[in-house]
Amino acid sequence: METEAFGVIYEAQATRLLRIAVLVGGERDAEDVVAETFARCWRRWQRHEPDDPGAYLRRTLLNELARRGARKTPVAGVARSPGLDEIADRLDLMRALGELDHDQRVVVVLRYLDDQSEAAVAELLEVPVGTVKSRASRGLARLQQILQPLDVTEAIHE
Amino acid sequence: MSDDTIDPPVDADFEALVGRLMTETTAEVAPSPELDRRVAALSTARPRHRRGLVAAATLTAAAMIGLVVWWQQDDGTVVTTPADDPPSLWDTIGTDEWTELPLPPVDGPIVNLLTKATETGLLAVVTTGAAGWVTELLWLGPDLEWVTIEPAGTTASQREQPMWLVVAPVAQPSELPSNKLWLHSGLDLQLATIDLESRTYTTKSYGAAEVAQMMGSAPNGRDMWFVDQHHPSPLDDEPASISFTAFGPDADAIPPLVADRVSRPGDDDQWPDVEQLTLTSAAGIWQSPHGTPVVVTNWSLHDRTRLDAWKLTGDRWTRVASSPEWQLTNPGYGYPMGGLSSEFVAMIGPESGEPTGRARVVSLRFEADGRAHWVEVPPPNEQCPWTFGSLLAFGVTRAHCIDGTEHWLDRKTWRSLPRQDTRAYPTTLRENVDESGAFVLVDLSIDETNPSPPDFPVRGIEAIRVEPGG
Repeated sequence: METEAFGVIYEAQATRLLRIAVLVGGERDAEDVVAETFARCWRRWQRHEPDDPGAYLRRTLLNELARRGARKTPVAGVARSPGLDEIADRLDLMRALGELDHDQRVVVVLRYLDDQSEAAVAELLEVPVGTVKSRASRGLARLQQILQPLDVTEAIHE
Repeated sequence: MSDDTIDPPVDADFEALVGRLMTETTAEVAPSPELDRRVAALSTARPRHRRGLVAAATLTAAAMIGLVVWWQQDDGTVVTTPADDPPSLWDTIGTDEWTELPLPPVDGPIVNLLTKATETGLLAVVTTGAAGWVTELLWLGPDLEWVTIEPAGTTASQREQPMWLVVAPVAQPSELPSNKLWLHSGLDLQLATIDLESRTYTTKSYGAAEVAQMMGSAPNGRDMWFVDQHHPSPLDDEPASISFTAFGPDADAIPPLVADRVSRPGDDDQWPDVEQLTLTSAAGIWQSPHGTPVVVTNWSLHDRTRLDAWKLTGDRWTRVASSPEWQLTNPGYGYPMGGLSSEFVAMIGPESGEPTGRARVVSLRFEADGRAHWVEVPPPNEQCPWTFGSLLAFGVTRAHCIDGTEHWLDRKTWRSLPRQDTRAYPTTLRENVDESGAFVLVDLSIDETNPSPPDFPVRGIEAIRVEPGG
């Protein structure tokens, strides 16, 4: 793969991957995870260029997150300069995501942050579509259980 | 059916809300300039160059994954060249084309690395200096991920024990199957058989508690030969001799080569007791075109030297070719360097480091009828005689001339190969033969004002590809 083409892919994918990494694994190591993801892909793409670089990057990212033991609660602290209420809401979201098991968290993030279809997530994770549906519904239910008492919904809409 | 087997219904409003919440939470998350820099550096990455680089370089070409492997002593980094674009004659492989594949973390500094190509990847024997020189077997497969090869049938606790106490790297015989490795543990010589399916290995011991002065491939290309020289005191009135011990599944007993059983070099007083002669047989075991082992010995005294070639026939070593006695301008040493399919090449000349003095390159050639004779190879330029320091590689001889230039000679024609640069850089040469040719690596200095080791940086790798038989 040419350097220029790799640069284009980075421009198109980096932000999205970084956001997935933040929500699945926490902000602290997110940039390291993304850097390692691109490093691994760059090496491999010198030999075999993938048909779908985006999917290849996502899978590599998820593997890297799993390798680093991203099954722990993500570390909060994503907000940069919002108001105090928003900070609180975002911390609540991060804590709530951390309550999910890793598989549920990955599905929820891919479905609702990354806007991936159930079929696409199933292919990415190499699991049946039914498993994706199950993890999503259970993950959402758990999030609802945690977030509703905290009035996060109202704060976001205000 | 219990409740936990039923998926709860999805609340569409909450579903949308979660999406929005996650989007807003990460809205300000963007790659930092540092991440941009790190990723941009990937495609322009250059290997790090440090002390010890040249001495530690090693090379393996693995055809299936197109690897040319280069090791740096301090961090074990492996560098690969592009798989689909093997080097042609004197291509310089740009450093921006290299890919670094760091070894998995090992316990302590790496003190030795041996690599061997397999059909589908690369085996690496990594020895670390901590805790008694522990060695691990690693395999790099087509996915370019290192995996550890474990000893078969051991428990988890046993695997934590040091595997080998390697005291010497063992050059691997060329005909040895790709899944086998000779290793010397310090206690004995062992033949390891690797099963890549199960990622395990088994070993068979062949004794050999003591490491020989020299060891190398047996003439059958699979077993190992240990070679020891015996230099008795003149008072002992014993002949100098070379003894051989073979190890391996097909090893046969080998008779010793005893110097005065077949006559000493010269019969007059000019050649005194053998004790005063330098007997060299390093790398001198060679399989002749007729399938018989040949050993080349060198006898030196003061300013004179002579090479003899010995052939093993049955249980006797017989001399098949004796060179003239060469008068050298400085104390001379002869170095049998290695054989090709049709000849054996040696270099004799002034001691290494001497700034002046002519050296000779000589070639032992066998005729169709089995007779052999030594032929002196002329220097590439009569105005520029050889100086000591050349090395030989598959199909190529690197030659230094007295004016400091460096030449590469095609061993088939003994003509100079074209070079991009003939300055006398401190270089290192490693070779490996794959199915279609040979790769030779040369590390070159870019610091033209101070090209002396050990601080010189490396400009890159020059690679040569030589056709089989060349």
